[in-house]
Order: sequence, then C-alpha cells, then structure tokens
Amino acid sequence: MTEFEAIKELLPGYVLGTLDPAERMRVREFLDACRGCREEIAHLTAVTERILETAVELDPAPALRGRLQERIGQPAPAAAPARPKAAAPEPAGGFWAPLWSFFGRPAVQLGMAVLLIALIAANFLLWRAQERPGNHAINERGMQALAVQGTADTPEASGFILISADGQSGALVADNLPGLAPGTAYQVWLAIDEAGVLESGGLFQVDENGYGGLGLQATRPLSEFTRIGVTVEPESGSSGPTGLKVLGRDLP
Amino acid sequence: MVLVAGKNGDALTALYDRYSRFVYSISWRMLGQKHLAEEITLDVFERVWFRADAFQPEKGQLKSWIARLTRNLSIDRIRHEKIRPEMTAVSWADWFQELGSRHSSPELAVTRTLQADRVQLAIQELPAEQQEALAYAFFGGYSHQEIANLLDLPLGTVKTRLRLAMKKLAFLLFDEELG
Repeated sequence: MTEFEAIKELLPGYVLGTLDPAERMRVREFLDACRGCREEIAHLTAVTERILETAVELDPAPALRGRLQERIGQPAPAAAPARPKAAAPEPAGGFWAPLWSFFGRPAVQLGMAVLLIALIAANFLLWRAQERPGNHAINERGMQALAVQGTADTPEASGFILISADGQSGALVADNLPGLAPGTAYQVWLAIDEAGVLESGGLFQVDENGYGGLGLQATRPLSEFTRIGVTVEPESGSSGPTGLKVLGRDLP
Repeated sequence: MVLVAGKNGDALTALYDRYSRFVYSISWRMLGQKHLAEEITLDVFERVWFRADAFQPEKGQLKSWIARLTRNLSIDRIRHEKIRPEMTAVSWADWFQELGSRHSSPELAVTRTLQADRVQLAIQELPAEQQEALAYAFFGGYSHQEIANLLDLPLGTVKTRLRLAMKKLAFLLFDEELG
C-alpha cells in the first residue's frame, strides 16, 4: 500500500476524530501536498455536518443566556425576544414574506398562507411516514412540497418547492444559500430534458442567513418540467446558467 | 462574525439567539445530561467570542463551523468526564427518535424534516455493522482502537467499516463518489 493509499484510508477517521495522535499528525503532514485528500475531507466533513443538522431542536434554560454574558464579561442583555409560535406566524416577515409576494392579491395571499399553515400542520406526520426522500405529497388533492438539496459546492443549502395541485403555479423557498456578491442574484432554471427546453423561473435575493424565495415564473405548467436548478447569475439575469449551481433536483 | 470578532456583545447575543438551540440540541444528544449540555453550549459561544477569527467563511458556513465545534467540544467532554458509554446516546435510533417534533417555525420544521428523513434513510442503507461502528465514532468519540476493543474486532476491520460507511453516506447524501 502506498503512502497515498494509506492516508486515504485514514481520512474518515481524521474527520470523525477517531485517529490516535500519531495518525492524526501523519495525515496533517500529508494534506498540504494532497489536494484530492483535502477535497475528500471537505466531502466527509459535509456528511458529518449534515448529520448534526438533523438534531431535534431543544430549548436551553433561559438563564443560560445571562450566564454566557457573565462568562465573557459583558453586561446582561435584554430578555430574548419570544419566538413566534410555530402555527401562528406573523403575516409579514420571515418565511411568509416571500410567500406573501408570490400570489398577487391580498385575498389570495391570505388564503394561500392560511391554507399553507393548515396543510403543513395537518400533513406533518403524513410527510414523515413517507419513505420516498425528496418527494412528498402535501395533501390528497395533489399539492406537492418537494425537497431541494444543495450541491457538492453548497452542501448546507436546502429548500423546497411548492407546486399547486393543478401544476400551474408554485414557489421556491431556499435556506442556507451562500451570500451573494454585489451585482449578482440567484436565478432559477426549469428544464424539460427530452424537449431541450430550458427557461428562467425568476430571480431572487437572500438575506444574511441565505434565506429567500420567489414565485416561480414559467411559460408552461410547472408539472411539465423535469428538472429545476438554481445558479448564481448577474442581478439582471442570464439567458442560460453560467454561474455556480447551488440547488437542484429532478422533478417527478 | 466580524462584529463578534470586534467584541460587540449585541452581535454575540444575536448569534446566541439564533444558534443556541442548535448547539444545545447536539450537545444534549451527545452527552445525555442537561447540565453538561448547558456547559458545552456556554463553551461553544465562549469559543466563538474569543476565537471568532478562527472562523474562515471561505471554508464553509458559520452554522457548519458551530456544529463541528459543538461536536468536538462534546467529544472532548465525553472523554474527559469518562461518561460513556451508558450515559451517551450512541445509537442512531436515539438520535432520530424525535425527529421533526420540535422546531422553531413551520418552514424550518418542513425543511429540516425533509433533510432529516434523507439522512435517516441513508443511515438505514448502511449494513448494521457499519451503523454500529459509525455510531460509536460519531456520538461516542471512540478511537479506532477503542471501537475495535469494544466490538472485539481487528483494528483494520473497524477502519474499513468506518471508511465504507462514510463513503456510502457521501454518495447517498451528495452523490459524491469518494476514492
């Protein structure tokens, strides 16, 4: 076995922290000269991070916030703002802000938001019971929420597409996208591979947390498209994808 | 993070409000004890405060850095306190048992649940012996040799199981074929 092969065998342990100190040092010394090893470490690290991100969120004791301030020698902060209740989001801001702009008139907005809240709450357990990753019917009437995953370059990124029951309209909400450089935007691409169709689904920006979304624009029903992707493009948009791909998936 | 590095207490507070549940959740799952999870949560944000310059945005997102920091500090504590294995959640069933039950908002719940479902399915795709070795490594912070001793296996077998498990997860989660 060559040194390269031996080091490759140790990389999962390096990422998991299971190597003994001598092995760890041996890997470290080899990394500078091994670009492939560094890339593999990045991929393996992304795996561990993806697992960690599935931790169920639990609330620490409220007093912990004050203890942190004591530790770092800062004055005690004001009490943390109450988190919004899961089933009663504010009508504007956060997640609902992009959705609010998706569906036109206020009456439609209100209806869609209420419907969405109800659907999410009512079908949550149903969702979890399904074992087809990335393809989740949201209700019996056929409205769908499809998970969208980040690419190898953006393993943190995730999101979902909502497609109406008739397949005519939909929305994309994304999270943990990389920050955009000035003058750039995220552009959605919709494709029908067999027909050689590729068209823009619209442009959107993200906030400081990489969170953003848009109502999808298309010249034909969304149900006809076979693939969706998101790339970084100039803020005025491109005629075809040119930049880094950050999200993508096949459509059922 | 620039503001935190500049010792802006409000920035750290904002960071704490955003990530403390995430940090606490990981550490609680790994350590299985509330007071230790709280200590780790404080340790993580203390480290963020004093070592903000160690975060390199070009190498990944802040949340990823915080997740790794949390796991590393949790493992250090597990080893230091010698609290494994009985009091440490070392099974995948424990890790996933309450998935999706508590999140701060509906959209987060949806996104996380979809993502977690995919991770859980990927783990379930692994042979049982690989799941077992990976759980000891991932949650318990055991070394190769310690896992080999625990499972009464040759050292090389443990290394192979961990490598195969991680390779398969990379493929299932990111379509990455590792050499």
